[in-house]
Amino acid sequence: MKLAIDFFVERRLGIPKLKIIIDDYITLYNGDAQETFEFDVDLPNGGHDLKIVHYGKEPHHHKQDDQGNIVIDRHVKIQRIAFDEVDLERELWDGKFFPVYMHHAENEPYYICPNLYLGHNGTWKYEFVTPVLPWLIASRKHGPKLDNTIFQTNASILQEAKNFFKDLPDV
Amino acid sequence: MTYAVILTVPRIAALRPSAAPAIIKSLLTSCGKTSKVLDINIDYFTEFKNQIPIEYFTEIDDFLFVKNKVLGDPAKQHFDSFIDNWISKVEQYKPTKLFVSVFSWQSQRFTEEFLSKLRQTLSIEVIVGGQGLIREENGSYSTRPDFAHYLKNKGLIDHWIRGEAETTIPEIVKGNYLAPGIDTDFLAERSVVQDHAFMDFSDFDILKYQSGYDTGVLPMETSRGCVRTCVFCDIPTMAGGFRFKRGDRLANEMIHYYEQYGVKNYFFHDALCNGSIKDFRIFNQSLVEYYRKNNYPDRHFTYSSHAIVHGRKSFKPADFKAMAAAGADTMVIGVETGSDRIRAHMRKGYTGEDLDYNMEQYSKNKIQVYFLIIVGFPTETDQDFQDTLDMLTRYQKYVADGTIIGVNLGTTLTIEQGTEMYEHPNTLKITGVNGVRPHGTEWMCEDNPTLTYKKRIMRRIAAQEHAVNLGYTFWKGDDQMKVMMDKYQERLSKLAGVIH
Repeated sequence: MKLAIDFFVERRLGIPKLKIIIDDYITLYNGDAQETFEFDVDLPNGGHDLKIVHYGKEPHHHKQDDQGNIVIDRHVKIQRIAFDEVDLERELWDGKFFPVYMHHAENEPYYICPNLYLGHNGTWKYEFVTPVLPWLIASRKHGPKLDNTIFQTNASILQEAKNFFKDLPDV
Repeated sequence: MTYAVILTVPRIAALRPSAAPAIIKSLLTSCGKTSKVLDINIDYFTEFKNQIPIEYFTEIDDFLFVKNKVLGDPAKQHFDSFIDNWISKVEQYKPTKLFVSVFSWQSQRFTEEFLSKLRQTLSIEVIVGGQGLIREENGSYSTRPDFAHYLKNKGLIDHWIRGEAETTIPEIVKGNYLAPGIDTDFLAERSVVQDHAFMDFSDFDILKYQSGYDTGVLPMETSRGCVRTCVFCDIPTMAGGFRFKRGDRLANEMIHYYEQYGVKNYFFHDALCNGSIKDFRIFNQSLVEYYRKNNYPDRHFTYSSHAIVHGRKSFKPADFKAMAAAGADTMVIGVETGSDRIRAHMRKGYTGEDLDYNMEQYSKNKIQVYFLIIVGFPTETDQDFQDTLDMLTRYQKYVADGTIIGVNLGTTLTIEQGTEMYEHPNTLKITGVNGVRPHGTEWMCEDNPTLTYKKRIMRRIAAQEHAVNLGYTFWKGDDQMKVMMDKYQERLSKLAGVIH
């Protein structure tokens, strides 16, 4: 499976650190964040987790103005993820970010979704299925709905035709 | 009293109004005659379908396009009642003339049944026209309009129009039935496309159609004829040389329909919208300029069309971008095969590399594509067929990203009159069956002797199965399977008749 990930990288306060992992045991990358990553990875058919771990951020990696507003925040933002050359669209927003809070967290969410901004240290997790293309096609349901129209195609008629022609002589 | 009633009859997809009745109405108006368009087809698919038990509707619907289908009594009663009701509606207008638009061979059975009953009750001049006047299954041309002759011999019609309405309707209004194309086997004189009047859709309930678009869809025409000469296609013979509307003229027509009917979506029903690259550019630019001038966003209108594949040298990435901004929605492309060898035999005029480039650009610019594919071309080997399956696999990513919204595999290759393959079968070493000239599905190829009709059908079935498994939205599969089964059964029955 081809995997492409594009990030916006805020590096004015140092380069953010990233790990890109599939299923907890395939580490595709570990190190300084880059704008673009491309991987070719063999995965068995079935469900998988893509994890993007933002780590190494410390309190001094964000800068505040006099009013306490954050003016620079070391972070990465996920801009694009493509599986087998097909960009995730709305699916990107299904990814969940599990932050590791540097401050004492009360009433803070256990995970943030939708979210593509990795400001806290933490893990952004996205669940997907291989082979990816049939999974995307089935979940997206693009295109017109043809059932009960003049254009429809049913498996039963196809099967009927297969049975019909199977043993007929070639004339 | 109305001078003429113009009918659209089943069986046509009820997605939008048909162009022919709107053209005829416009022509009659310009001749000072009143007319009323009645669309039986939309009533058939929206009202009638829901008024009777679905099993009877399915039976009737199969009867309309499956040649050897016979109606049972209950279904026939419903069908007769439907026709009687429509004859009464026609009668209310007391027309002196009835024009029936026979869209394709799939409209022939309804036309015959309807006119048979109409003749029993109404005395009215009946004139038929359209591509359904011929008996070719997948073609638009024939040396003889056999269905028109058949209707005339049965006394069901008074006249037929063979070819373009623009040069024949005004003659009919004048009472001149001797003009070329009226009751003739040869075609009417061809019109100047650039000078065509705008169509008149005022009689249509545009929003009633099952278009899937909020403001409905209207048909338009950019050209007649084609710039290419694919060996299996009869359009150059039927429609003559490529004639097209100038790009700015075409944009103005679309704007006129928008201002007149509020419709923002259009389907070009001709063979291609991008035959003249220069005018296609002007068309797209004119629309974008109109949007800017009126503070409309890009894609304020949408248009869908058949289109040909151009190479990257002649059709640049900027052209695809301009198409998208103007509102290109879905392009219907004659992909035909995944084999460059077969594509060259077909004289498609482009390569697989060109197609890859077009697909990449369509995907990038969010323009949808609908594939037309032909299975069982005479020289198609197992490897060529595999190339087609592989192409479908390779393009699965374009199904996933929403670029490819459909594939239509047809009913295997048929050789139609007016095509290069029909006129010059020796070029590809095509021979007829039992000494008869190659025609329809009755042919073999000397260089590919194992490609029997059954083998073509089996490939066709395998291709559908493959495409469906890959997640392609498959169009018209049921109709096509029924037609192939019926045709093969007929072939077997004929053979049995010979043997016994």
